[in-house]
Amino acid sequence: MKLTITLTLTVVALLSAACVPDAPPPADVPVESEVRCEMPAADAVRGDALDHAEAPVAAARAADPCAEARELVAVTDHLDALMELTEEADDVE
Amino acid sequence: MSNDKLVAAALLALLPTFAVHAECLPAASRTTFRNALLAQLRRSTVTPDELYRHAHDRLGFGTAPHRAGARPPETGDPLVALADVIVDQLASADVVDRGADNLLARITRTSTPTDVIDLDAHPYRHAATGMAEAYSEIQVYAREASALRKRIDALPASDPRRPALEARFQAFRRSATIARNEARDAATARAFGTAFMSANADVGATLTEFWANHFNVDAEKVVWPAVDYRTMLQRGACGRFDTLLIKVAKHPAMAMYLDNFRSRVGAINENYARELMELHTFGDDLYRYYQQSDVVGVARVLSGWSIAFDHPSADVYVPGFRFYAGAHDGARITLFAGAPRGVALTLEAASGDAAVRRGERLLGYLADHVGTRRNICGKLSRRLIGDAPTPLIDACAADAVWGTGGDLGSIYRFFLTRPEMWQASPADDGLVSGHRYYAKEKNPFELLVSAYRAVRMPNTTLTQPFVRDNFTVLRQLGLLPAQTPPPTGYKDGNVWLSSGLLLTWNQQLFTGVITDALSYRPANRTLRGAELEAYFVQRVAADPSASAQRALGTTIARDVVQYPDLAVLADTFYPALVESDAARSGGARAPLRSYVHGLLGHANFLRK
Repeated sequence: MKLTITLTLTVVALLSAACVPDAPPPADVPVESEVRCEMPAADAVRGDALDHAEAPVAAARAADPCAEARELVAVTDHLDALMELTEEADDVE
Repeated sequence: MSNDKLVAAALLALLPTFAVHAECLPAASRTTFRNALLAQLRRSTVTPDELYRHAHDRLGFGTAPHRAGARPPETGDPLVALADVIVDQLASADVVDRGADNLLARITRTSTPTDVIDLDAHPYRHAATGMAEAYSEIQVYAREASALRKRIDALPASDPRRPALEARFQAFRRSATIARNEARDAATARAFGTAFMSANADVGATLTEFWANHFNVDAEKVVWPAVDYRTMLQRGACGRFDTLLIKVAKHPAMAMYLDNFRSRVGAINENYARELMELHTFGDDLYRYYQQSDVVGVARVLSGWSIAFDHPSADVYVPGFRFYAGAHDGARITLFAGAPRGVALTLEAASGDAAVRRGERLLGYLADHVGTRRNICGKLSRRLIGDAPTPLIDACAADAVWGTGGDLGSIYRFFLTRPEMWQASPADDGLVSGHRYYAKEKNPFELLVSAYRAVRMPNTTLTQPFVRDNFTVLRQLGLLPAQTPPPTGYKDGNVWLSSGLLLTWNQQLFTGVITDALSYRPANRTLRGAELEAYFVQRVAADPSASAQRALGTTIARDVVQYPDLAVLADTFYPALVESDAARSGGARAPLRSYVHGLLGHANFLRK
């Protein structure tokens, strides 16, 4: 009886092992774009919010990818500045 | 332009309308849906009155007694009439009703003061405008302030022009803030006003609020993009879920709220990617379908998805989605392979437009995932039925209902024709009658809106100062529409009725405001306010017998508040209220107010 149980457990264990899927392939390590642009650090101090008050108007698609990347940074600086400018005088109502 | 061209242009303008409107209830499905709905209504074991109220509460924002379909008709089959109301509402669920917006704007708008400084505050002035106008106004004030600052700083300290320029600078800056705050408040008033003015069983208003909560943004943070975010959601509420998800991902409101607008190669921001999987799609905060590396990976695929400003004319700026190819990480990537229940998705390297399509493919994958299906089906089931049993979610998530990419109309039709939607529940928690109809608690927003509707507040109420006071209370209670801070939105469940809420409800929301709006026409004269209250004082004094008081209570419930199914409370409730009122004040001082407050504070009204 004991032998039967042991054999059964062994078979189950072997089958279970056989059913375990292969370990998933390792996720590709994303490689950053080959183009390296000189960009300000994300947490760099932007200076006075008023300096970024004017909307950076969308330019035509630039051939230079770094120009586009800098354009995105200008947009984020502008939107952050707009919030800062309007929040500072929030007691007007 | 020639007549032919005008006709062609008009037809072209109409085409998308027809195409969009048919999606929640396509013509081919209309008869089948109506028959299935009617069959469930007929199988229900509760009264038509209760079915009407249930439909108004679950598919809309409570009964508006003065609007169409409020009660069973005096002639004809009441269930056929109710089915027809629901069919019509579902068929037009994605039609944006701008009535509330236009009313708010008309009352508060003076001009478009882009060249005016020292702007007077006109709350809700932005209600009927889109984000381009809201943004342009804020931008122009800020731009002028910036130019003035530079001019002042260039002047010598002793220059006599400085004080005047400084004052002008401060005025521009103050106006920018006023414009910003008004855009924020307009988003909230829009949400509140739409619910308040919506039709009975207005499925479109309810679904829009559902999606606005599912894809929550906080207008306090995003301000100008929030003013027409709901409009976009309603227009997409009858299409496919994957399409709606992509529209949300590209909308400046979501881009700013969860910071994806600043995410770029070398400075990836994970906020949106995380909430996309934790809340918007999988609804999985246990890392079953994805892991932390996938959060970063999804953020990389969506990097460079941001905002740009077109500038077609002076003082006009049009914000919109823009893909910044130079800020995008387009490397080949495999996602979800390492998560316990993840299924690997490999995206090949891409750049330019192909990179945008790659991001859309990722969103489509997420939208159609089994985890997403169960999340969306479960949330809709809880919203409409009040419960989300596993077999119901399984059936909704199956291809037969979900379709490809999430056929939202099919999913709504599924729930509306389920027996669970219309059958009485045997459960009885002792607080209310044993019907499923009262199983859900109204949240503070629904409670206030349904009370306004029940007493037939006029639409112009929206601009009254007490409504803004009520907004303050809603904010304190954690549910101010369009201004709920966390990405989760507010909870949909029986979590709202607390002693704190009831205390606030009694003390603040009812301070005379709601009863002051009531009117009654006992003879040929309409009575309101103090005159109306005096009428009921006289009636009580004329015949203080219990039977007369019960009759009076029924009159108030049926003809003044016009909430007939609450008239049953009159038997016990009204005499007790009058007695208590008399004990406090030595006479029936305010029987109407006492009774109305009692009705709207009763468990049957606090639930839905």
